[in-house]
Amino acid sequence: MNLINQLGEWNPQLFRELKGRLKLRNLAVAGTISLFGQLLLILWFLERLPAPGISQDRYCTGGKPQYYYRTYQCLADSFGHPEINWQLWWTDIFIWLSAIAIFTLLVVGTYMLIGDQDREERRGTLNFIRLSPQSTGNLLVGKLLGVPILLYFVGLLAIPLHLWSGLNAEIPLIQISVLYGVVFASLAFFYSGALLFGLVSSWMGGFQAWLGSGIVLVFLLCTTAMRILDNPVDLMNLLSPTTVLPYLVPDQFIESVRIFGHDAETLLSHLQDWRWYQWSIGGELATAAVMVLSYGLGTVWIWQALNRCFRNPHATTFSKGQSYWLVGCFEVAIVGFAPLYGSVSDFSESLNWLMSLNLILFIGLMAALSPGRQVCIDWARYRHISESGRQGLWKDLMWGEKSPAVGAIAFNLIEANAILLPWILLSQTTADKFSAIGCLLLSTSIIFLYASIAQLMLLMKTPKRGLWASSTVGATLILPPLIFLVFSIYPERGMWLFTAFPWEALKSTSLMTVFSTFVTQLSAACLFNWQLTRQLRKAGESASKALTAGQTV
Amino acid sequence: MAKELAIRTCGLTKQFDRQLAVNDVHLEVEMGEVYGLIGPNGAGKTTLIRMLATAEEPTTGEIYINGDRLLRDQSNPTLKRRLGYLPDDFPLYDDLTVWDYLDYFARLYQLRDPRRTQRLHEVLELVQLANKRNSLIATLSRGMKQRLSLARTIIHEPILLLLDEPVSGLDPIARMQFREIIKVLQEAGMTILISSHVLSDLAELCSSVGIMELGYLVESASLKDLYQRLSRQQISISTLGSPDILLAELKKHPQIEDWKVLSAPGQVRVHFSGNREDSANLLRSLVTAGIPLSEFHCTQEDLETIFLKLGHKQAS
Repeated sequence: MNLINQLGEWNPQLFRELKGRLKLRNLAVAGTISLFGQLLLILWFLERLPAPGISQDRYCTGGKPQYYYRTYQCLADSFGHPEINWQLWWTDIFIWLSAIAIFTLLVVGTYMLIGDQDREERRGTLNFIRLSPQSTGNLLVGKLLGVPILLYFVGLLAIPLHLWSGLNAEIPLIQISVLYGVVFASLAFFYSGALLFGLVSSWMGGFQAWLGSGIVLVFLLCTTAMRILDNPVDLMNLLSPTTVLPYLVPDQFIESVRIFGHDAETLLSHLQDWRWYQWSIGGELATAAVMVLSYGLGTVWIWQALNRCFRNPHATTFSKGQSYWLVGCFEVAIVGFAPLYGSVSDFSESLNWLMSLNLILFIGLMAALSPGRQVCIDWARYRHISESGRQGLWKDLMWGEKSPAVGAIAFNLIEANAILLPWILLSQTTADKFSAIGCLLLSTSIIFLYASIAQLMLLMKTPKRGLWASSTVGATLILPPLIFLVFSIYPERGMWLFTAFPWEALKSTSLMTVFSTFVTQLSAACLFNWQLTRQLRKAGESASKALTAGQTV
Repeated sequence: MAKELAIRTCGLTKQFDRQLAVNDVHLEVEMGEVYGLIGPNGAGKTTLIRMLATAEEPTTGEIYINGDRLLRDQSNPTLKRRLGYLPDDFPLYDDLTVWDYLDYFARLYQLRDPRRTQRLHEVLELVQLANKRNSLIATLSRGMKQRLSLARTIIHEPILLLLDEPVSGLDPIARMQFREIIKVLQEAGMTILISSHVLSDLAELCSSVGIMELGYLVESASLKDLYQRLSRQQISISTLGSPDILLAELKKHPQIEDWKVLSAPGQVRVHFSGNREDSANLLRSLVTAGIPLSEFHCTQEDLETIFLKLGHKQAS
């Protein structure tokens, strides 16, 4: 209790979370779950030990019957019991325990943090915390450390077995420490992300905790034991703490150990050849350092958004100025994983991934930058007396806090293209670079179209504007390709140019068709923006003018 | 010399969609005042208080607390330490005890021991919850929770209290206890802005009132001034004889503006424009006329009557 009091002097929010959660009953339940889970794991592995009389097994100490076998011949002692390769047995336990711990900490912790935010928001208590003179950082660090405290307790109880299994597997302590460092950095990143997601998704009405932790679970399932592919999707590996697991397998077992069904040997060989631009990031320390750096950079970006949204929930997640830096950072990061040398299919694969990641980034940006209806109305009505409004319309659209997002999205698209275009031009490939540039153009125009639709939908009068906007953008993104596929219109056909996935169609399309598609999409975006301007003009009229004209927005 | 202002707002406006919830409000509250905010539901009282507490961002306009500009961002933590805000729904943490809850907020507002413990004892004593200090909040009654919320609001010794409907839903005894606490806080020198529909409470507590309607602050004056301007003097008179004789005698007096025969036998209420001497003369003349008087009682129209008389007709 004294410790809690002392911690409370440093961080009152942590004091509140600990006081509410550290009850004897809660600790007993958490402790039982942790110890029982560890016991089950040990029993499961004990069950896998070879029984007397068995001739070959994974944990036996003899030679392999054939070089491609994964089992060893069993040598029996004087009592007829097979000799056990305990080092391999402990290695398996260590790898499994690490993976289970990473999944549990990230998925359950994310759920706890988002759920807690939701409860506080619904109860109305978050406002009191906001009104206090404590800094945002202090309050949210208290939440990060305090809300998952029982989960930390579960993890802490598993550390002795984890360390014990690691040391018995003869994994150097320094390597285990590197794993802990990476996991710690990943927790800071994912938990900060969970806090941000919890803040901006309060309109989901309780579903957000499941959605957020579900996304983390799917991300981990997709990236655990995903080998390095030497294309931009490798960014995912950089953000998955399980990437470092193959480094921890002792050299003599690298052929025997499988991580989530994948050979540790294959994973490791690709990891060791990993490059970002011309720099090698293979090797345990280099990979871990780059991962920690990436988590750090991501966490800093998330905290920029947290600092804005926590005090003012109606503010956009990022300011327009911040978004320009963010897009720059992201594009530079993903282009680094796209090789300049390679076959046509390597180039095409890298380009496809660049476009896909770009699309995901810009969909996120639409949500993060587009102000809601009230902010737009206030902007249109009171722009003339605001500080930013006096600076001129264009400057306001580019930098203003309350102005619609389409201008900033357009500028971000130009910036992204300015980084992606040199990669296309400098690539040493025989692939058709005009198609690649066409791909860039079409992706730009369709993203701008989506952003225009999203901003227009957010100006609607209906109460669930956010849901409508995201559903509409989601539908325009997914439905056309789905319908085409249902009617057996495959991606090589020209109609796919009008979707967000035009890559295959571009290969067999003339430059003129590409250009006319680009102009059509831009014209459609302009039409939506004209409608947006019209609505904003109406919204900006004084109430008396609207009254005399009998208009409604 | 003019008193220093605890609250000053300039053109404070809040727009929800195209609806102006608060419209160009210029509010001035002097230090040490208890300022009552009255008006029908939807008049903009809660929005105004929320903006003063920085729980809501104004669409336009400025707020000054003790002369310093109040902004909603992270700036000015010292200014925020001076504010205490009690919303009408007073949310609490059910999983904490009374003591831990107040301890948490005292820490949030940077109170250090031993002052913190001392302050906790003080406020628990003040809100009469000292015997409940180790009880879980979930086990408290509504009145106790309301008092605990007030304790949370004042734990950091703010100099400006913003109370939004603090007595709604409380029984008469709890309301009386709450009133007494407010009086103690006023004596301690706090400036208090309080919104309530219970106008008798406000009449007892406030030194000034503001009336809001459709987002406008349509009236803002000291209670004394308001009574002087808008409250008429009434005299309740009862006779054991016939009320007709009493009325005939009353008609002779030019200061009697109008009268109303009440349902109780022989009881009449008149509006009287004279001063204290005139009312004494009236009493003397009635006695001299041989009317068997059983009651002669001078009163003023209360706040509720004044509010209704102002004719603000916004639907609740």
